Amino acid sequence: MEKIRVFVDNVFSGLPKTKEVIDMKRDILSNMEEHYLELIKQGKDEDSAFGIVVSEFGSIEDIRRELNLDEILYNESNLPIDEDNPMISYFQRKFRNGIIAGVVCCIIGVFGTAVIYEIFYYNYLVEAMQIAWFSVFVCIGVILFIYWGMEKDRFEKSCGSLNGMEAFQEAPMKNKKMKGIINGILWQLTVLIYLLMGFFMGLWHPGWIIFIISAIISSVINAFL
Amino acid sequence: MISSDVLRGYNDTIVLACLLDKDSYGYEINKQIRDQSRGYYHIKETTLYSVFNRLEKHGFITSYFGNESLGKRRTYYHITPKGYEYYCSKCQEWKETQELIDAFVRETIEEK
Repeated sequence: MEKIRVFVDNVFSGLPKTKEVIDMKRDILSNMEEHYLELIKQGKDEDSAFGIVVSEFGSIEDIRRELNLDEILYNESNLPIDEDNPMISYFQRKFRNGIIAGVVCCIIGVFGTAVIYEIFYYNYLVEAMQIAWFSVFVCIGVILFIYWGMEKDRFEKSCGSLNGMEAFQEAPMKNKKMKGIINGILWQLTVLIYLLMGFFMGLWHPGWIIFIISAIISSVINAFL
Repeated sequence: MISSDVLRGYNDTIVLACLLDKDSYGYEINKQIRDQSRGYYHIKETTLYSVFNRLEKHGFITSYFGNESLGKRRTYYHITPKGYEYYCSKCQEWKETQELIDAFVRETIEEK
C-alpha cells in the first residue's frame, strides 16, 4: 500500500500543488488503494495486485490536459493554496541569504589574501597562508552556491516556479537565452582583460585571478536568473 | 476492437449512466463500468477523474464527502438535472450516430 502512495507521489510530483490537483491526487490514491485491497481479497499476491493497480492508472497527461496545467493561468481554481505562499517567501529568503553568504565568502577569500600579505609580509609562509585562506573561503562560497542551487531546483520541482506562476512557460525560455548571452559576454571580457593585463602590465601572475573572479560572478548571476 | 476515439467521446455518458440510479464514488463507479461492460472497458484512473472534474465544472454533477473509508473521506458524486439532460442528449446523439454508421455497415460482404 505504501508503494501505491509512493507511486502516486512520484507521478504527481511534477504538477503544481493547486487545490484541484491535490483533491484529484487524494481521490485517485484512495481509489487505487481500495482496488488493491479488493484484488488481495480475491486472492492475488501483493506484487500482481500492485502491478494491476498501477497499469490502470493511465497517463498524467490526461490530468495536465484536463486541468490546463500546461499554461498556468492566474485564476481562482489554479491559485496555489494559501499554505504554499508563506512557504515560497520563506524559502526565497533562505535562498537569498545562502547566495549572499556565498558571495561574501568569496569576497572575503579574495580580499583576505591581500590583507594577509600586508600583515604577514615578513613571514616566509605568507604565500601559503594566502592560498590556504583563499581556498577555504572560496570553497565555502562555491559549496553554498551549489547547495542552494540544488535546493532551488528541488523546491521548484515540487512547488512551481519560485519567480511566480504566471508566464510559467515563458520564463525558462527567456532565461536560458539571457544566461547564454551573459555568460558569453562575461567570459570574453575576462579573457580580454587577462590578455591586456598580461601584455601591457606583465600581470600574468596575479592576473589569473580574474578567471576565478569571473567564475564566481558567473555562478552568482546564474543563481539569480 | 473498440476505437478509443469513439470511447473518448462517450466517457462522460458512461460515467453519468452510473450515477442515474444512485450516488456513487470513484472506485464503485470504476467497478460498475468494468462489470457493466462485461470486462471490455477498464477505464483508467486518470481518465475517470478527468471526467469527474469536467462534469463537475459544467454543473452536470455535484460532489460531497461521505463515509470514512480507510480513515479517509470518500468523495461521492450526484447527477444534477442539468447532467441528466446532458446524458439524454448524448444518448440521442449515439442513436443517431449508430443509425448513420449502420447505413454503411454491411452484415455480410460478398466477395466480388
